[in-house]
Amino acid sequence: MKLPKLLKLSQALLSDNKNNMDDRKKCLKEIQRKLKKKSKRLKEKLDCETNEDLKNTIKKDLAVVKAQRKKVVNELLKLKESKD
Amino acid sequence: MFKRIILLSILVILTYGFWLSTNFKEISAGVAIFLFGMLSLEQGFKAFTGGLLEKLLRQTTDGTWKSLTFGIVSTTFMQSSSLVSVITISFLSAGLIGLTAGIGIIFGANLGTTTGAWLIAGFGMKVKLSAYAMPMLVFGVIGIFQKSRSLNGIGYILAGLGFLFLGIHHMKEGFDAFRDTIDLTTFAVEGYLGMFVFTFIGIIATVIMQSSHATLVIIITALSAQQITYDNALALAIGANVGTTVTAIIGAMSANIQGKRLAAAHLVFNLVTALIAILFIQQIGTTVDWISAKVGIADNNYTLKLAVFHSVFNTLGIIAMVPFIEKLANSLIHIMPEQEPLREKSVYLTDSAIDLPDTAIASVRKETLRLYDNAFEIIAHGLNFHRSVILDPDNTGDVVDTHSALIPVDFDAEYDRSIKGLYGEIIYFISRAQATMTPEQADELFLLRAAGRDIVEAIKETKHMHKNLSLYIVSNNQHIKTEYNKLRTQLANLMRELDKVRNKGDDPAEILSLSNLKLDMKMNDSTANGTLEQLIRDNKISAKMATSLMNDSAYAYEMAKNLIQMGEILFSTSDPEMKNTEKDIALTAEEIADIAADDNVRSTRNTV
Repeated sequence: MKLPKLLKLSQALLSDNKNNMDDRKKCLKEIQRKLKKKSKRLKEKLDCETNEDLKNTIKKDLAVVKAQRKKVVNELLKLKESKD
Repeated sequence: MFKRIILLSILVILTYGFWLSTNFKEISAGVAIFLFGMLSLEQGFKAFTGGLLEKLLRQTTDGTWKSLTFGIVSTTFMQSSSLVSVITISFLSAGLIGLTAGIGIIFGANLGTTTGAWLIAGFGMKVKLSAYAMPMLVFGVIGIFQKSRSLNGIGYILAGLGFLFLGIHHMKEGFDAFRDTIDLTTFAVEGYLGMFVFTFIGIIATVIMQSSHATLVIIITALSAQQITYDNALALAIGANVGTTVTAIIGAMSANIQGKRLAAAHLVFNLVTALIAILFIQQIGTTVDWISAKVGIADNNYTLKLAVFHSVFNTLGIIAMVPFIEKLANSLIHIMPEQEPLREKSVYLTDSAIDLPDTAIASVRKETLRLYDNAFEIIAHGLNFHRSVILDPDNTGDVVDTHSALIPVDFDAEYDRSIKGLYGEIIYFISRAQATMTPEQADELFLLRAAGRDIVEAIKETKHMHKNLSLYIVSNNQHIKTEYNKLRTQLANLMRELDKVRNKGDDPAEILSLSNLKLDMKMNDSTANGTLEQLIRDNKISAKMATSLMNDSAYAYEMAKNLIQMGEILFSTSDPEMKNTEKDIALTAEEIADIAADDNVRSTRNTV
């Protein structure tokens, strides 16, 4: 490997910014996974629920989870862009 | 006054000693430099206590043997049982570890500290330590001048080691020169009398220097220069072990009852160990000779044999005491019970936690949680609920009708008794702790302070609501009664949900579910959702009732907002990066408003 390339690689490896970005990505992925699971659970609950009031509560919860999942995807995209 | 007389006497004796003997001056200077080195070393390690050490302590103290090992390893590495004791006391005071684990660490630290004797006897007496001390001091001081926290810490550690080496060198030189002028062995006392006299001298020397390490170095250097007999050196080492508990007792004075219990356990361990060592001195001596022969220590190498003795009798102490750790912990809890204060006082905010940033943050978090627990009761009573009713997961909306009997609550007296003092202590502690923190750590404390303020604000809002609420939940007008009961139910549900989030621990999805509460709050605001106008238009409530409901809805809204804000800070995950990410993903007021305005969600409003 040539020296400039090696330097760039080592710089990238040692960079605090890169480590921070990796940590953030890890956290976002973890949240994404949890929210997906929660969304699936709520959908299943909604299908089984017969009480109209409780159904509406679940619908609201689902709307919140959906908005949060969208935010996670946007943050991940932003992260990818700044990495490139 | 007594302390001043003692100090003055010590100063006079030292001055007379310096005038009398140059060698005494050199030995004393060696001790002073050594102690200064210990202080530097502790200062250096404190720079690193913000992370690794505390993380390790949390993860490796869930069993007796684990805590014991942690005590041995950390003390061997840092060469300061005092620092390990002080950190353990601060952790215990902050409620991060239990008393049994704390006792395990202290027992381990006693064994770990014996490695110091090995190093000094095996290495310090053979090598010219001053040669190593000089470069260490130079590099250390350069490090101390650096702004970076870790470089500064390394600087203090290096300088500390340099001073330790230099101190040992001067003590050695002093005792060697002493040998030519005076023979201290003429003061040797034989038999059990000698054992008790020299044990007592060892205790006093360690109490004065507050370091068993320093006493041991003096013993080893004196023994190496043949200024004391081997038997008397053993007694001095036993005394040093007992004397070292004084450092822990002084450290525990500013700690809470948990810290005091730990210091008591330390004293019990060292007294029992000393008693075993004195009673079985012959047998231990034989064991030491046998081990020394096995590991190749010459029969006349008394300094190393002293190190073996130090390790053996501390190991014996551990073997004798470990089976009784639980019993000891229970007895101490029984003998030293926690006192119920008339006015609520902090439990976790101790002076011993101030210098350890992560511990200080954890203490403030725990204390703010206590503040919330106290506030929970006041708020619950203010809403005319019993705490148990709100926390009962089976209760939902129906709870209101069955609990409408008025609960008497004196807000001012309750606030004064269980909130005011505690909140004041948290604020005072934060302002003191911030001084030694990094900007990130200070930000964390700033957030916790904000959470405390949110709690206090929520109580004030409950107080404002309470007067009308008490009036209208027993009103004959069913409409106003229903609206006030709705407010109570919403707030009770919010508190129940917050409790669920709190108990779910480190799950980010749970913290994010606080956004659901924000949405509920937005949609249930009767002023904003048109319910109030409808009731006035239909003449179902009077103008006075409408004004009250409008004001109290605003208080309820603010109260809910404050409690959710508090929950986002206080119940967030412990990982800092995850905490920040959660904060970014939590929905903002605008995003909540967008969801509330969504047709699919709006259609659910009237039925909830």
